[in-house]
Amino acid sequence: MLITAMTSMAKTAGAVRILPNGKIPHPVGDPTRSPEEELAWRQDVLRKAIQALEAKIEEATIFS
Amino acid sequence: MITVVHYINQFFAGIGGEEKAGAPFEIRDGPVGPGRALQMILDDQALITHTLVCGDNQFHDNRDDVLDQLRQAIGDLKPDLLVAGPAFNAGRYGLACGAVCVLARDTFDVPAITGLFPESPGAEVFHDRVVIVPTGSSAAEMKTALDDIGRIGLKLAHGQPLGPAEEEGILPQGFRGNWVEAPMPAERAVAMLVSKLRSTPVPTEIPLPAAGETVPPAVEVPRLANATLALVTEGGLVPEGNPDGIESSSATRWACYPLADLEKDGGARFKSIHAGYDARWVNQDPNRLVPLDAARALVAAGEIGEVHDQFYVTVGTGTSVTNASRIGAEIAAQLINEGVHAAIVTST
Repeated sequence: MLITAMTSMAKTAGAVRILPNGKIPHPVGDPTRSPEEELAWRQDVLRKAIQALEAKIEEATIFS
Repeated sequence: MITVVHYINQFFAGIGGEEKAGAPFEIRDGPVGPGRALQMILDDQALITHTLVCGDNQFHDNRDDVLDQLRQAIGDLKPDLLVAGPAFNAGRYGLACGAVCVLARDTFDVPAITGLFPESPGAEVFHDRVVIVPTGSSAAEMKTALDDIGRIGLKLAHGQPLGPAEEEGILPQGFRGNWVEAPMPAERAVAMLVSKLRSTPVPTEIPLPAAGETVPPAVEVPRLANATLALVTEGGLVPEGNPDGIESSSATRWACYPLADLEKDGGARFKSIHAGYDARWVNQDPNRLVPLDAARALVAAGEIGEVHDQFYVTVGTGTSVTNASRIGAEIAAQLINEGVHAAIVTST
């Protein structure tokens, strides 16, 4: 699965499991948070990624 | 006088049809069959000195021998131009024409040209290596095809560079040329906008590649808690010094590095060499690109089975679709080979 802030481009390029997240220069980072908060936030992002990997899908899907 | 050698099959040489497709290679003097019409088009600008003839089956069944005979013939005759066909939509004949053109140009530096239907097998295989005039699907289009072959062939024989495929009337070979275009880009852009506002056609200067194939979804991973997960990125994160020389743009390479190295000194020994985004935040903390700290935490919490001990990286800016597809396939093959069940790819 793919985590990116460039969702539409990912879809155009043929990615199948897409999770829109973060910003272009840091798709799994949030520099506005404290280091501890950022790690907790990043764990939540990976939990969403896990859901995408475990999801049975028939076509390209944008998860949230 | 420009000299031309012409390659045709047994049918166009008047030997016969399918029943004569085993006709052996032979060399005849002067133009034969469509070569006579081509000679009239070339008029006094070039002379077809010889015609090379080979049966369609003979060419493919005894390919190495026939190519040897062709090599000998073209080497002896040393023409200024080699013309093959046109073969229109014929399968074996078109493939033979492409192979003969490649031989002439690559082995003897003799410019070569053929005419093929754009969707024929020969065009499919040779379009990026051979100058091919697009033709209709059958020999009913012979006159037009020979006109085009004659006109462009003479340019090639004189060593004149060809312009863009569309302007020359050949099939695109898939590479770009550089030249200074007048008027300047801003004027062209405004002219395009005005055309668009007027609802008149706006030809693009950069045709996009044909839409990619639809990728069927991979089968879901039943339980990540029992799976091995790999971390992959196109964000260009490499050890200092970029030991594998991954290009900052238009990458042709990928690499993998141990997670243990990435974890040393908070990732301080890794930097992004990607030329397509501002890497300062990733350089401060590589977990913002390769979410290793969070993945380790979820392994500890039992939500992920394990994290594969290397991460995989390339650069995805300016990267050609061809290279990107190859890099993706190579990384995927290695992941499968190493028993990885799932991958999280981050893309900048």
